[in-house]
Order: sequence, then C-alpha cells, then structure tokens
Amino acid sequence: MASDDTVTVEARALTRRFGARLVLDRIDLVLPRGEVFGLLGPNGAGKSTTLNLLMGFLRPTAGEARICGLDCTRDAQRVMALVGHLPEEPSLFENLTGRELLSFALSMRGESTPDRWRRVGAHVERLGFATEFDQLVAGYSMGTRKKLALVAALAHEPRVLLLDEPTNGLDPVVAREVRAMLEALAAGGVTVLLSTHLLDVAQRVCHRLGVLGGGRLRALGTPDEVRAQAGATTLEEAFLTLTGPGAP
Amino acid sequence: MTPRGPSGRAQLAAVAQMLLRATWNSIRRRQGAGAMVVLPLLVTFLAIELARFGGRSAAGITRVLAVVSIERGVHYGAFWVLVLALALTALKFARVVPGRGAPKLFETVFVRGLPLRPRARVAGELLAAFGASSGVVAFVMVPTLWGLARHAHAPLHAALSTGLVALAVNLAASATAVALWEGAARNLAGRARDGVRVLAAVAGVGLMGMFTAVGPLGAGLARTLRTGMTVPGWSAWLPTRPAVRWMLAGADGETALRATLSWGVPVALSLAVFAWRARVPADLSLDAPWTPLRAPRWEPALTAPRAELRAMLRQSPYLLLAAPAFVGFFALLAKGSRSATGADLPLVVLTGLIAWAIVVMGTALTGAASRRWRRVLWLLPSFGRSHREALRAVASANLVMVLPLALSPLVVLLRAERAAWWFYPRMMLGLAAALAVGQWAQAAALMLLIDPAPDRLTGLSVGALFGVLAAALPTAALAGLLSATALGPWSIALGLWAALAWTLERAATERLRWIRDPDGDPMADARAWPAMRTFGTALLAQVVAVELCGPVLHVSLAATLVMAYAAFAALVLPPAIRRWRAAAPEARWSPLRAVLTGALVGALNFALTVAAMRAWRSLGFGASGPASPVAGALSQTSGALRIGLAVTAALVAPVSEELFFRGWLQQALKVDLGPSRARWAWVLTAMVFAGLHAGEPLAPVLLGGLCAGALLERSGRLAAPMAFHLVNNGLAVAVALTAR
Repeated sequence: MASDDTVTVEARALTRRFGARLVLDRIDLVLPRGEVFGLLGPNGAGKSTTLNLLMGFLRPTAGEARICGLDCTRDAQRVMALVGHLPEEPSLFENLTGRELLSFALSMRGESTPDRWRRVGAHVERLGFATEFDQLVAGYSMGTRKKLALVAALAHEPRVLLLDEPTNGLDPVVAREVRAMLEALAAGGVTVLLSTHLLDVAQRVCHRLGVLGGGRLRALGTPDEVRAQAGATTLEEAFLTLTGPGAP
Repeated sequence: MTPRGPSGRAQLAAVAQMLLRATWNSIRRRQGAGAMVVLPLLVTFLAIELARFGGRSAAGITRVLAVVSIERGVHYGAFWVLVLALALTALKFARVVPGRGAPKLFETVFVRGLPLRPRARVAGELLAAFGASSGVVAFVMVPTLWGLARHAHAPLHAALSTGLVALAVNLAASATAVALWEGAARNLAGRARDGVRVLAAVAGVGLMGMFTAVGPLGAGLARTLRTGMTVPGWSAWLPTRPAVRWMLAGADGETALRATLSWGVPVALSLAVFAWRARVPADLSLDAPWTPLRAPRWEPALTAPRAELRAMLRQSPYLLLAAPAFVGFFALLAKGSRSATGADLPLVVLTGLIAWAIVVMGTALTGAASRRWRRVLWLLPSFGRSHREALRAVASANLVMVLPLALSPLVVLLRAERAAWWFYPRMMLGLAAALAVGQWAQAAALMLLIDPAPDRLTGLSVGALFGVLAAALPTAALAGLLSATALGPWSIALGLWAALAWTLERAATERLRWIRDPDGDPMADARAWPAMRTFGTALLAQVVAVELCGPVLHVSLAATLVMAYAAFAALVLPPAIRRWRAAAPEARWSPLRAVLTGALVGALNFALTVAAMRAWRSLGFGASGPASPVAGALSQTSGALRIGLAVTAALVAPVSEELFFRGWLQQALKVDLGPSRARWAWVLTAMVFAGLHAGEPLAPVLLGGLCAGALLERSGRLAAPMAFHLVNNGLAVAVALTAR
C-alpha cells in the first residue's frame, strides 16, 4: 500500500489501449518524494498518455495509478488538488489575461491568498513575462503560454509536478531557469515527473529516467544505469538502441 | 487526509465571475460586440413589425385570423420548436455552435486539470453553454418564432411567448448537450466518440438548415392557410403539415410515410455518405485524449484547384448532402407547378442539378476546402487571422447555408404565383441576392472581429450595418411572404436588395484594405468607388422601386432607404470627414454667417420649389400626388419605420450627402479638372447630385445642388451647404408629415 510517505507517484501494471492499439503495456513505476524522474521516448511512445492517466483524465484499461496514495481515477479531484500539471500544448482560455487566469485557477483550488500571489509574482518575474502578465492570453506567444501554464502548475505549491515537455519552446535562458526551479523544488521535497524527448534535459535534471518504447518501459534507472542497460556509451546511443527499429 | 478544496458553490461563483470577465474582455476586444449592436437592432425591427401589425393593417390581419384555426398554428409552432431544440442540442454536443470564448473553457486542458467539483463543473458548463448560444437563438430563432407566434397571438402575447420559448429551448438544448458532454468526458474512449460527434454535427446542421430553410416556407404556407388560399396537393409532400399532423395529431399512415420519405431519404443518404467519408482521420494523435472533445478535424490540406475540387467532393459531405436535397427540392417544385404551368419534370430536375453544380464549382473556386473548412458548419465562422482565408470560408459558408434561406420564400411565391418558366431565372436572382447579403454581412462581421482599430467608430459602424442586415433579412422575408401576392414587386425588391448588398459587400471588402493599410488614403479614387456605388444604388433603388412598383413597396422602400443611408454613414462618412479635415478649402465666412446664410437660402429654395411646382401643376403638367418618393413613403408608412424615414430624410441625408457631394466629390473634381476648369466642379457635382435624385423633380434638385455648391465655394465652410440642405429637407419632411 502506498501509505508510505516517501512514495508519491506509483503505477502498477498500468495499461492503456486506444481501440486496438496498445499504447501502454503494464508499466510499473515508483517515485519517491523529491525525485526528478524523466520519461523518455520517441513521439507516440505513450509519455503523455502516462501523464494523462496520472492526472485522471484517462481511465486505465488495466492496472492502477496512485499519487500520494490516492487512486488517480477514483479520487481524480483530490489528486488534481495535490498535483501541478503542465500539458504539452497548454490550451489556455484565451479571453482572460494571465493574471485573471491564475486568479481563476487559484480560486478553484481555494488558494487565492496573498502568500500565493507573492509566489506567483516571483515566478512571473523569474520567467520574465511580467509585461505580458496583464495582457490577454490570446496574444501570447507559444513560449509565454508555456510559462504561464508553468506558473499555474506551480502556484498552489503542489506536492507532485507532472510536466509534459516543460522546456519545449522556451529560449535557452528561460529553459535554464526552469531547470534550476525544478532542482530547487525537488530539493524542497516536490516530486517531479517530466516527459521529454530532449536528452540533454533528461541528463542534466533527472535523477532517474524511464525509457518508453512500444508501450513498454524498456529501461529504468539513473542516466548511467540506463546507458549501461543499453550497453551504450552516451544517452543518445542508449535511446536509439532502446527505442529504435531493432529494439528489444 | 488531503483537503477537498473550496465548496462547489464557491467554485461555481468563480466560474461565473470568470465568464463575465471573459465576456467583458471579448467585448473590449470587440469580438462579441456584434451581438451588442445586433440585439438592439433586432428589437427595433421587431418593434417595427409590431407597429405594422398594430397599425392600419390590423383589419386585414383580423380577417385572416378569423379564417384558420389557432390549433394548426400552435401545432406548427410546436413542431418547429422541437426541430430547433434538437438542432441546437446536436450542434452544441458536437461543439460546432459558435462561441469564441465560453464553451472553450471546459475544453482546455488547463481547466480539466483543476480540481473542480463535478456539480460546479456541470453548472459552469451549463452557464457557459447557455451564454454561448444565446446569440444564435436571437439570430436564428427569434424572427421565425415571432412569425409563428403572430399566427396565434396578439403582439404582446406573441413577444412574451417568443421570449419564453427561446429561453426554454436554449436552456433545454444546453442542458442536454452538457449531459452528453459529461457522458463523453467521463468515458474518453477515443475514436468511437468522434464518430458520434460527427454524426451529431451533421444531424444538427441538417436540422438547423431545415429550421431556417423550411421554417419560413412553412410559415408562408401557414399564412396561406390562414388567408384561405388554395393549397396545392404537392404541399402534402413538405415535411411541415403532414409531419405536424403525424407527430401531434395522429395522421394516417400514408401521409406520415410520404412526409418521412420526402425528407428522410435524401437526408439519410447524405448522412450515410457523411458517416462513411467523415471517418476519424488516420493521423489522429492517440496521445491526445482531448481530440474527441475538439471539433473533428476533417479539413484536408489542399493545393491545386482540381485536387481541391476532388478532395472537397470527397471530404465535404454537405455538398453531397446538397445534391439529393436540390434534386428533391426541384422535383417537389415540378410536382407542384406541373398542373398549373405545364413545367417539365426532367427540365426541373436538370435545373436542380445545375444549381447544385453551381454551388459545388463556386465553392471550389472560392477555395472553400481551405483549412478552415469545418467552419462552414456554421454561418458565422470564427475567423482565423488570415483575412483572405476567412473571406473564403465565409464565401463557402454562404454557398451552402444561405441557399435554402434564399429558396424558401421563393417557393412560397411560386406557389402563390403558379410560376411560369421565368420563375427559375428569378430564383437564381434570389440566390445571388441572398449570397451577396450573407457574404457582405459576414465580411462586415469579420472586419468587426479583426479590425485592429485604426478607428473604432468605423469598425463599430460596420458592425452595426451587419446587424441591420442580419436582423432585417429574416424580417424582410417574413414581411415579403405576408404581402407578396404578386411576384413582380417582390422580385424587384429582391433585385434591389441584391444590388445594394453587392455594393455593400464591395465596400466592405475595400474597407478590409483600409484596415490592412491604415496609412493609405481611404478616399483615394479606386477606393471611393464602392462607396459611390453604394450610395448610388441606394438612390437609384428608390427611383426604380417607386416607378415600377407603386405604393405596394413603400415599406420596403423606406426600409431600404433607411438602411442605405446607415450604410453610407458608416462606410463613407468617417473617411470623408478625415479627407475634408485634411484638405478643406480656406474658410471665408464665420461659422455663424455660413449657417445663417445656408438656412436662409434653404428656406427660400423650399418656398420657391413649392410655389413653382404648384404653378407647374396648375398649368396641367405633372401628375398630382406626392412631391417626391420620400414624401410618398412618409405618407404610406407608420410607426418606427416612419420615424426612421423622417429622421433619415431630414437629418441623415443632408449631412451625409453634403459631406459626400460637396465635401468630397466637389473637392476631388476640382483637383481632377485642374486649375483652369476647377470652377466647373460645382456644376458637375450638382448634376451628379440631381442625377442620383432622379425619382424627384429634376429642376428643383438641380437648383438645390447648384445652391449648395455655390454656398460652399463662397463660404469655404461645409456648414453652409449643410444648413441649406437641412432646412430644405426639414421643411419638406415637416410638410409631408403634417399633410397626412
């Protein structure tokens, strides 16, 4: 049972089919508190599906997913209260300003407090979009949308962060800021599960990696362990070996 | 244990607050401003209708009401309310009902990731859905409902029941759609749901089309019933009367079967084709569970025109849906008219096929199968950033959606007229009219939406124009159905509308250019032409209408005039004012002197005109009757329309005409003619001015134009000719009003 306080994200034989296609095939994952875990895999490998199952957006075909001991499907609402989620393509409500959108998100969580707003202000400053914050989301660039969605994911100080391609579309300076923020959050005990296909992000930030391919978890461990499992010298080589056409 | 967060009520309050904020933001962005303009106009037009019914024609209506049972009207209304409710529900479920803001809210992954309590979410969705479709209800439903309600009720009662029914239908459709969404959201299964949504979209569009197309037709038939006119046998094939009987009063099996077959077969065939063609695309990203909640992506990426046409026929089931409907429709016409006119069935079917081919080719040529194709689903597409693409989408939407709107009143006319062969060219004229009106209106809406606001006034006034036409069209159709016992005047009115709409559409397109190039001179010659055409068409319209149609059309004439001047004021005045300010001649008189002199000359001119015309008539020349078409229209109209006409003639026309003729044309001609011939500019202007007033006695108008031009040349102030024109027209209107 996941009452163990050190385990925050847990997947047991997590399986998801879309019609005849098996997208996730019996995935097992256990993420302790404060870990930054990277899900790697080519496009369509099931990374976003995993995150969506953890968020309770999708129902697993078989198996179960838990966050802080709560079943992600049955207790989706409570899970959402604990989790900060950054979707891959942040589809935001366009007719609000960034501030209004965050105000809405915080009200929905009952957390629109001065303390939270101070934190939001700090994040906004740090990610460098203070000037756009009071403009309508409709006018935001892709990168700014990502930044806003990231602030929204962080605003309520979640215990778990589920981030889908968090640094895609960000310029290198902001991407570095984001990496630093993630490291600091993890040090503070937040569990971060991020999906990416950028190998250097995975290598720099993640404590452990899981490589998805063909619906299966083909490798699991620290970057060094993943390399060793694939018998490769670089992570890129390992990735290609594990997910390429001749993959196991 | 983890906290459950705020209460559902608090969350709902936050949703409501956020929707209000978003609405306000969208108004500030002028996205929803069209509705803010349109609704008051709609109310105004309904008020005009009320006034018309409440006025002198009441005796006729009473006579009509005595003939037919109320029951039939009620059944008829109930049937259409049901159809509309189903259509709205299906469209909402498929999320193709327009709405740039609210309904998208609950689609966003962002909101789906928030810990909303289920009840708050459902209530919020309901709130958003209701708000989002209220505009649709107002546009599409209220005019037809009003027409139906007037069959059975007094004006006040009809207005009340129209409002209540519209409210109830919107609420019921929203609630059903939300229930269906919830079902879908809780069981995100992927492909199968997409198929259901596609089918719902088709059914919704079909039903909506039926409502808009056949609703007025049925209203016309009901009118016919009430007036005790003979109903031809073929009308039993229409879905209206038999279906009503069958659904509500238990008709015999054969009638029900015929009604079902007449519409059911083509619709079912089309649905089958649609379902087959609109399979979920193969590249549907399975990693994105939201796809089933978005609009289906069936738009193809196209390049070459031929490929476009092919792909469109493959991918755009509405065109296939149109084909059997067209043929069936014309076959119905043939069945109805054969006995009366000897029309040949194969000929009529051929006409149907040709009409369909025109639609298909036209749609292909306008690039309808662009990436915006799915927006064809709705008459008011939500536009992308590319103007050109948006206009194409508009054009294609018109081709498919406006056709039935144009056809239905004409069918009633056919029935009333026992049409001969020339019905068909006239029908094509009607199609062109409806297309032009629709296209223009939507181009104007487009501009309202995307205008980056070099000047807000113009953007809004164009939006107001759009509103006028959007509201006027169904009202005019109903009014036409009411009064059209003869095809002649109505088709002429339709032609005038077409010309007006076409010029407006051109003008609107030009305005797009101004928007793109705000620094350019908005009154540069090439760009002034659409404005001139608009104005000229409006003025010619009054002449032709009065000359050809006599008093029957005074109401249409008055409405056309009021709208033409509104169009003029919106499209031409802002740039004309800018132009005048930028290049005004040197002022020689003080403002007070200019106004006083202008007013004095105006009064003298009027007195002189009246005296001269009396003398002329006393010598036996000229007919007795109203002094001008406007005077005639003033004496024939009543209520709000009469007031609108009086204000237009006494205030709007003088100011706008002076700005146009003296403020712009005369100055522009001076430049064009060069210094040596510049003095002829005022004479030429006066001649153009008189030419465009051709329905009125020539000499006084020419004299008036010369006076106004001379006043401007002497004073150097536009105030002088304006005062002249205001006093002259004001006196004329006052005389016409008091003479009644």
